[in-house]
Amino acid sequence: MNRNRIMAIGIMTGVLSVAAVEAHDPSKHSAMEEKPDCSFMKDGQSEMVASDDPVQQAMMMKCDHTSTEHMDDSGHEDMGQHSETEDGHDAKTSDHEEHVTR
Amino acid sequence: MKYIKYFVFAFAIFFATVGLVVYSGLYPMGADVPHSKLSYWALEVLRDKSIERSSQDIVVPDLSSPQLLLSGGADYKDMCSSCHLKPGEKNSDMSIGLYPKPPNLTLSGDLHKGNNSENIDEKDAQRQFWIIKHGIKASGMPAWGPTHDDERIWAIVAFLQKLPEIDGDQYQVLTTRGKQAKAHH
Repeated sequence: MNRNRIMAIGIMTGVLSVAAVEAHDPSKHSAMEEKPDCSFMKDGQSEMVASDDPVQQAMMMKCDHTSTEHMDDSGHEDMGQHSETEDGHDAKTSDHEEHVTR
Repeated sequence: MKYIKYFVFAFAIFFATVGLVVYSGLYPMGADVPHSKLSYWALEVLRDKSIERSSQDIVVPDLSSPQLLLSGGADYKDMCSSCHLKPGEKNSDMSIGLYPKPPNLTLSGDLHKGNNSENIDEKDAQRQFWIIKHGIKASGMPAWGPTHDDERIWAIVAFLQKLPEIDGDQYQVLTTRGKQAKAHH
């Protein structure tokens, strides 16, 4: 009886811990399939590379992810795969068509 | 002795009046009826002084990392932009309906100015961090601290420091969460 109770408490604690972590995952905040529209950056990209401005650097990072993903991903389909980049962020490997049309 | 009597009498009248107003149910609690100027001033001073005192010892980390902007931007869009707006937006249903009206954080101002990283106003950052973490009573501003760690809140502060400088195209890129958010937790 005691053993069952301890097991039940253990299982409940585990489940609740996982649920608590999951509840606040950023992925719960919005759809994860959204893509940045980087088309407006094409003209000034070379200037941005040298920029010290964190905003420009952040935009370069974001749009670099997207373009690198496109080059790496030959299938053009979202297979749920990601590549860990040097800055520690998961890069999404999909949606080539959407990006090109923008 | 005579003055003490007057003082006690005035005190009793004051509390009786306050009690009458509170228990009568006459005070308009609807968010579409503004406070009197006196009430608004008193609440505003109470709020500002309390936040100033509570946030004064917060140590502001380096907020100049572009990585913080990406993380904070995505959270701002999801958690804040419906009330505090995005570049080019003048109003939203939330910003119109809430009382007191939430500040438009896309505009430069004394408390929400956007500067380059060398000139980030420390008090401004302390204040924003405290408000995001603890919320503000009876204002519609929730406390995000119980569900979001400090690192994530600082990322939002970093984004807020830059928000008045960025345009709609930049906002769109910086706030698109994508899958990089997975690495955050």
